[in-house]
Amino acid sequence: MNKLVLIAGGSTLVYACLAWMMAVLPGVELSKVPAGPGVQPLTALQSEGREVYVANGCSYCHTQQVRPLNEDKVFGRPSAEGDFTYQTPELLGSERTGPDLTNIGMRQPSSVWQYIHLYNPRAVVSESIMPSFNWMFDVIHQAPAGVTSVPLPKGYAPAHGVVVPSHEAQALIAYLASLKQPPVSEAEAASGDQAMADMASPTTRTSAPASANLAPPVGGYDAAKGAALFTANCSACHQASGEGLPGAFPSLKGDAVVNNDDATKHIHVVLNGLHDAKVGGVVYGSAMPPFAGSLSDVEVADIIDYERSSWGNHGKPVIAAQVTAERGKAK
Amino acid sequence: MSTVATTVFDDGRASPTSATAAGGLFDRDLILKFMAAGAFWLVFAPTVGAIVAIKFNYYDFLGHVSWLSWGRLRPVHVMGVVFGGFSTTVIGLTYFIVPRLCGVPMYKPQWGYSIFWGWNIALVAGFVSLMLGYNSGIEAGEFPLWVSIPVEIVLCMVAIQVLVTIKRRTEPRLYVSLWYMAAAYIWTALNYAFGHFILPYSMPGVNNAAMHGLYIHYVVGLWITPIGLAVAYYFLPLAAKRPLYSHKLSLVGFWALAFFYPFVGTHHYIYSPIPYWTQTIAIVASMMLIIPVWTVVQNFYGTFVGGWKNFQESYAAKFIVIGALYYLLGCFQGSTEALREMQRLTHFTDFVIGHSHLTVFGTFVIWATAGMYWVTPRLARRELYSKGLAQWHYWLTVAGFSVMAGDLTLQGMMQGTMLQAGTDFVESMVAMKPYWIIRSLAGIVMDVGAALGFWNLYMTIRHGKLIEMPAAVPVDYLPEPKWS
Repeated sequence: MNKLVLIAGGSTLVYACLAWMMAVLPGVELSKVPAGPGVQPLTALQSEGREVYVANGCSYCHTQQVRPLNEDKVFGRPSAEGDFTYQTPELLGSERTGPDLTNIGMRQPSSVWQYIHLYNPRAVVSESIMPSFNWMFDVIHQAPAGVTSVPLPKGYAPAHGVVVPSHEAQALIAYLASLKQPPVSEAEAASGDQAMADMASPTTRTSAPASANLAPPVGGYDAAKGAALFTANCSACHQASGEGLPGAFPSLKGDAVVNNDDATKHIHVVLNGLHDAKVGGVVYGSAMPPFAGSLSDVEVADIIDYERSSWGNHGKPVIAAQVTAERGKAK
Repeated sequence: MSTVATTVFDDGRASPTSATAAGGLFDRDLILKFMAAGAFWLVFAPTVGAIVAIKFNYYDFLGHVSWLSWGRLRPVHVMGVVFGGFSTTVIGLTYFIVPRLCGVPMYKPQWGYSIFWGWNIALVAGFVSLMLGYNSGIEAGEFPLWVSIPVEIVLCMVAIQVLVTIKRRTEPRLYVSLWYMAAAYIWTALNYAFGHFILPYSMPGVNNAAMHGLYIHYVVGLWITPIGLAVAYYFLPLAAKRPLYSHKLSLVGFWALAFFYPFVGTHHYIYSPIPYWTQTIAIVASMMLIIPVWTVVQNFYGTFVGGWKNFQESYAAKFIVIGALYYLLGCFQGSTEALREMQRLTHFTDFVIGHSHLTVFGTFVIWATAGMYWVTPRLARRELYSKGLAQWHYWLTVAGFSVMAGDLTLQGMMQGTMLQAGTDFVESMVAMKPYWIIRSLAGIVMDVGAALGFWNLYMTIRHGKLIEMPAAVPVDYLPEPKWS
């Protein structure tokens, strides 16, 4: 057993054979997977943004894979092989010190929010631990024609001048906006759910029945649930105070739609989102995402009721049935 | 009790009697240079680690400058510990261990200095590149091409030196350290090329992830583990002044490692779209890794049992023993972590960071440090500069590191539990803030310990008390300094 050839050659051979088995066999299986429906290669600017993402180590904190587990549902549907067809090197990531970004283009489509957040994350998410990337921005005296400055809230803006994103920042935000999970077909969704049930542990299965199956609470809404849902889905822009950010995201406090007893428009906005909203004479360029796909009727009703009963608002509460009706109209 | 004949040339024989090389077996000056450079990187890289740790709580600390931002420094820390601190030290120790076990000088000894400078300049270039944003995007393989090429050349050169030296050896038997070293250099020359020249540029999609899982775990399993074990197996009998407990056991460990490690990489991607059966094999293999780990721990403690007096008198021995303890903890942690239910709880949390520290630092960096403590005063032919500083080094390392590993493990499980219970993600991060402060403080304690220790070794080389040498000093004479 003292032969160099045996040790060096033998161990390498063993290793190589086994590694090939673990690499080539799954590789063959995976190479047969076509790009998922709607999965597109990146544009030039988006690829540049992907390089900025890599260079600055974004993937050390942000994953781009959604596992078929309950706790990952907030980030999107479970990732499928076809989602990654055009990605080299892969950015699935190994740690989440920040949220998963697989579907961030859908979850937070507002580039205004992304710029404010990139410049100083705490301007929009007060508890954020993400570093500030303000060196990706230029502070200049006056924004040149055609360039919109970043509407930073007071306390975060520099004392003099305006903040405009550099090319690097623009590419990065374009890349983030491209991160959208294309919807899967009904059949695939069903098989995905099945796979999820197979992979999930018994605890997942027992905790699976979502609030959607429960009857709407009689005599009022679930205030704690409403607050939690608002925090998870709305407060990034509208802020915990409901006051939004002046010039960037409209205030819900004292807002006409929120306080109108006819809640139709309020429900419509939460379900379908909003573009170029004109609120209180100000036009907001940043779009609000639709929530019809990610929230159940009961959840939408809980959020709306929370908004209608907080920060001094006094709109008439809604029930899930109204949301169901409004959702039906959209179809 | 199994006491198989010892083939490590310790008690009595410093090297095979056939050694007759006129210039000596090993180059004292070269090895000391490697030790000094390794010591420098082992202070540098953990200091960068402390900076990135502090940034978790103080976001503006050294912020607002691109090249000092968290995402640029993080790979400097990881690559700095793996390729800077650990690898520089073990390559240096290779130049000591291989000739002494083979009975012939290293093949092409003049390559040593080119390798020393080429390696360290490449590392500097690598860290500067990462800070400037040149990152290949493969975790633990981030060096850009102009750094990877010289690193790969160095690895191939050392591999050739090691293999040819073993081929030309005069000592018929091959001690287990040579097994591990020969394998580590061949495997790593291949794996490094794979991770740096192929992965960042070809193979799209989930395939890339599957391969990345293999690469990143092979850095651990093909390089850090075998080369670290080679070092520990060599210095263990020397430091304990006792023959190795069992040679058979060490060979069982070697082949078990070669058989099970190729499978485990995919356990980085449990619940991903990588084929389910591949994940399952990875989990099974991860559990099987308990076998090679157990052989090592049994062998190490078996060697020490009955000889604890020497343990008290040698810092090399102390570091080997504590490293073996962390090895046991870290590897059991790693194996169970691969199980689906544990993975669900801990993946993406700081539990994983705790595990990588427990293994890479707690075990292998600590074993490399043990080698440094044994070799440096002997080659410098001086007494250890200060026993007190060595004591501080040891205890600050043990105290700081134990707190850090425990803290990260607990906080990871806590965060996993919170997320499973439906806690909002941001809220779960806020709950981690106190733990991050503890982690930073523990890391700083470790850094201070390391700085004191490596200062001690540097001062030993420069100003340690000269040991009286016999009248006619043989070239390869090694004195017996106290406490090392």
